[in-house]
Amino acid sequence: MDPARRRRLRLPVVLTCNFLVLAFVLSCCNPPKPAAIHATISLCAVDVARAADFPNDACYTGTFHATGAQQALHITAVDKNGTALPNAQIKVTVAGANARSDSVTTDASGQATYQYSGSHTGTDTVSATLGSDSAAKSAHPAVIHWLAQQHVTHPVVLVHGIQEDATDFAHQFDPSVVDSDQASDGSKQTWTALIEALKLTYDPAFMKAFCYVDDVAWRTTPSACPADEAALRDCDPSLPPSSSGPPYPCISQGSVDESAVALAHVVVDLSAAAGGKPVTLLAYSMGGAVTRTLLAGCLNSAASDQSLCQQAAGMVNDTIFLDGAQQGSWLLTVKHGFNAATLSVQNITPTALSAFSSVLPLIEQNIYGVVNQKLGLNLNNPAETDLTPQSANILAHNSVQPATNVQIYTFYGDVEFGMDVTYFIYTLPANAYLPMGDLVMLAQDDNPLASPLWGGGSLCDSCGPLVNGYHENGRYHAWALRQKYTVNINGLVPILSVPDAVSAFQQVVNSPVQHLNVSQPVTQAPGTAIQVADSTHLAGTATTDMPYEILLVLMHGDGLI
Amino acid sequence: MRRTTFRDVRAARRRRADSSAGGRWAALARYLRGAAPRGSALWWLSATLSLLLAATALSAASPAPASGASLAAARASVLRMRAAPPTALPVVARWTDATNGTAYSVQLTDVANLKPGGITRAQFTFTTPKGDQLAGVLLVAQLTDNSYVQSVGEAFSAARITCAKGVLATSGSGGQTIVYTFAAHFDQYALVAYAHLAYASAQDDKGISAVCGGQTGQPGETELDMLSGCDATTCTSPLDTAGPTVASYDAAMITAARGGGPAAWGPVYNASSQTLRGQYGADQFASVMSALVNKNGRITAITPVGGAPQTEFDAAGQGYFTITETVTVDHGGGKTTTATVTSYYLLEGGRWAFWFSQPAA
Repeated sequence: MDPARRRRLRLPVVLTCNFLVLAFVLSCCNPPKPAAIHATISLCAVDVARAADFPNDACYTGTFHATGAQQALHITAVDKNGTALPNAQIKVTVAGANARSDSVTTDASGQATYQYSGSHTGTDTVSATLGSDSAAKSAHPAVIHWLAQQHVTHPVVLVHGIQEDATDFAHQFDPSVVDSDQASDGSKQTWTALIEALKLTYDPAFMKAFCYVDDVAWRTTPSACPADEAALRDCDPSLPPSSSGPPYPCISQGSVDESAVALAHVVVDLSAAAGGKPVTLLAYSMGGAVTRTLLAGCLNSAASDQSLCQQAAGMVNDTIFLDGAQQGSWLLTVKHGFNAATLSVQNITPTALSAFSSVLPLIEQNIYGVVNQKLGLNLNNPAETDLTPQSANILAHNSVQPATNVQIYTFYGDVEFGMDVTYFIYTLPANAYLPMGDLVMLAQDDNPLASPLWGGGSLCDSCGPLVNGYHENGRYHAWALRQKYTVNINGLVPILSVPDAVSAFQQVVNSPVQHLNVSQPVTQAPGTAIQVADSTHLAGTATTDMPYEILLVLMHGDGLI
Repeated sequence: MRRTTFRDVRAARRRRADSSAGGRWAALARYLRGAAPRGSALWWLSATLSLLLAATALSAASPAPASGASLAAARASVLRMRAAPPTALPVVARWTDATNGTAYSVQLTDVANLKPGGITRAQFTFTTPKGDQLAGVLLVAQLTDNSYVQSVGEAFSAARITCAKGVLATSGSGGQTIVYTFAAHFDQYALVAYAHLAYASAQDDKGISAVCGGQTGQPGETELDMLSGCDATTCTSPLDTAGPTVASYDAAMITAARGGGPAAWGPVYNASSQTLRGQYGADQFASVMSALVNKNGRITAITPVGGAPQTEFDAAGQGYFTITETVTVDHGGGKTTTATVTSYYLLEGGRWAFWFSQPAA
C-alpha cells in the first residue's frame, strides 16, 4: 500500500480500534443488572364506591366492606423478567376474621380476580402466592375491614381544605349529588376510605360536606350545599376564579371568620335535625382553622355571631383534625416577607438548625411551588391572610382553649429531613434532622394557646413525649404521621437556580404524609404503609390505618364496640 | 515575574508525558504522532494492541499522579484566582452573622434599577438572636461608589436619627410593637453587608427616647449588629479571596487525609460551611473523616480544572461559586485513582466556606 495512503487511513483505523477496545472494557466492567430471581405477584382490593366514578383508579391496598357483600381483589403475576404469567395458579390466603384459602388461575394477560364474602366483622389480611413457586408472593397484603352495616344517627360534618369543592365530598356522602367535574380528576375525591367507613356505621342522612361562604360548590353544584347555607353565601358564582374581591369569586379562599359563623349554623341545624345529638367535625387543613375559630367562639365576629358560635361549640362532641391549620402555614410567613433562612424550630438547638439555614429558603420555594401549582394561592385572598401565622384570626382562636366539652383528636404530618454532605470523594452521613411537619405546616408547638411566627399543625395540650407516634392528655389525643428522609445536599443542585426544578428533594415532596397527599387513597386506604397507633386497643393490632382508627374512636365513644 | 496560567500547567504536564520514554503512554503517543515503523504492514494491529494495553492499564489503575512541581504550579495559580462578580443583583439578598446570631435580608427587585444617587423603597427583615424578626419597608439609596444603604428616614445620615414603629414578630407567640432605628449598608453586588438595629418597646417611653435620641446602653433599649463581610465603616470584597480559599482548603484536606488526627482536620472543619458544622462537632468530624479516608482512600492531590470561578446567586439570594478539580486518591498497595468533582463554596458571614461536592458532569 502507498505509504501516504496508509498514513491517511491511520487515524480512522486507530479511532475505530479505540472505540472497540473501550466498548470491550465497559462491557466487562458494567455487567447488566441481574434479573429478579422469582416471579412477582401484586394484589389490590377494589373499592366499590370509588370504582363507580373512577373504575380505572379504584384498586388500592385495602377497603372497608359490609359483611355479607362481595369483595373483589385483583391479582397480577409476572415472571422474573416482568413478562405476564398466563394460566398460573395463584394461591390466595385470607388470614383474620374470615380465614380461608383458595386458588385462582391467571388469564392470558397474567391477571386474575378473586372474590370472597366476609361474614364476620373484623379485619382480614389477604396474600397471594404463586402455586409453582412458593417464594413468589405478594410483597404487600391487602387489608379488608369488614363492618356490620348500621344506620346509627351521629351527625358528622366534613370541613374541607382551601380551594377544595364541597361537592367532591357531598357526592361521596350522597351519590345522588352530581358533581359536574366528578369524573375528571380522581385526586379531588379524597378521604374516600374514611367516608366509606363512616357510612357503613352511621346514617349518611346526617353527614354533611360543609360549604364555605365562598365555596367552589356555589359555582359548580349549589345543590351540594345544605339548603340553609344559601343565605350565608358570600361569593358571586358568576365571577371567574381569577377575580379578586369583594365581591368574591367562589373559590374556597374566603374569610375564615365568616365561614366559622356559617359552620356554627350548620352544626346547630344538623344537631337539631338529629334530635339534639352532638356533632362530630372532621376538619382538614383550612377546615381546622375554621373549626378552631368556631370552638373559640368566633371572637372576631359580631356579638350575635359569637353567641351562635358558643351555642354551636356546645353541640360538638368530637373534633378530628386532619393536618388542621392550628397556627398557620410557614409558607405564608415567608410570602409575607419573613426570612426563611432564620426559621426557628422548637426543640432544635440553634447549632443543629444552622445546618439547614442555607437550604431552607430553597426548599421553601420548592414546596410552595408544588402547593401553589395545585391550589392557585393568592396572597390577597382573605383565607391566605387568615392562614398566615400570627394573623388576627389565628391570634384570636389561639387566645383561648377550645370549648371544653369537645374531645380533640389530631393527626398531623411529621416529616423529618436530613442531608448527607459530600467532601470530594467522602460522604458524611446526615447527623441532624429538621422536623418539617407536613411540609406545608410545621409541627412543633402543640400548645393550644401558642401562635408562633412559623405556625404549625400539631395540637395536644401538655401531652408529653410521643410513644409509637401517639400521645394524649385528658381530652387531647394526637398522632404524628412520621416519615424520615435523607438526601445528599448535592442532589439539591437543580433548585439552586430553578426553584421548582425536580431535585433529590422530590422524594420528600412526594411523601404520602405531605399536606396535599395525606388525603389521597395511597395514604388512607386500609393496608397503607402509613400506620398509626391504635389508641382504642380495639383494632386487634398495635397499629392500624387512619380511617379505621377514627372509626374505632367514634364507635367506642358511641358505645357500639 | 510572569504569572503561571492553567495553559502553562497543561503544557508542563504534556512535556512530562513526552519525556517519559519507555512508558506505556509514551509509546502510544509516539505512535499517534507517526513515529512507528512505517514499513510494517501490521501497524494497525500494533496500534490496537497498544490501545488494549492502555485500556487494560486504565481499568486496573489510573495514570500516575501529576508531579509535585506541576501541582505546585496549579496551586499557585489557584491562589491568585479572583472570582468574577455576579452578573446581577439577586431578587432577595440575605446575610447572616453567626457570631451575633443575627441576620438581615432585603428585597432588591426595585433596587436593581437604581442609579447612583437614586432612592427607592425595599422590604427588609432583621432577625434577632432569639429568632424574632422585624419585617418592614424602608428606603434604599445607591451611593456614588455603587454600594447601597438602607435606613429609616430619608437623610441617610448618622447625625439625623429617625424612628419608625414596627412589630417584632416573636418566634414564641404573637408579636411586640416596637419603636426602632435601622441602618444598613451593602456592597454593589450585594455580597457583603452590615446592619444595625436599635429598638425599644412601644410602651417604654424612656426606651423610645433613648432609641430615637441615639443614646446607647440605656435601659429598655436593645441594640443589635449584623456583620457579614462589613463592619460599620468598611467592607471586604470576597471576590479576591475565592482563589486563596480554594487553595488553602485543598491543602488542608490533603494534609488531613495524610493521617492527621483531630488537629489536622481542624482547618478543614473550620473552613466548612454551617451545613456541615451544624451537624458535626470538630472531633466528631475528624473521627468520621478519618474512617472515610481508611475506607475510600487517601486524597493525595487536588488539581483545579478550568479558569477563575464565577460568583453566582442561588434562587434564594445566597452567593456561591463552583470549582471543578481532579482529585487523586491513593488506595494503598500502589493503586491510585482519579476523580473529577465540582465543589461548591458558599458565602457565609462574608467569607467563602466549603459547602459540598458532586461528581463533575
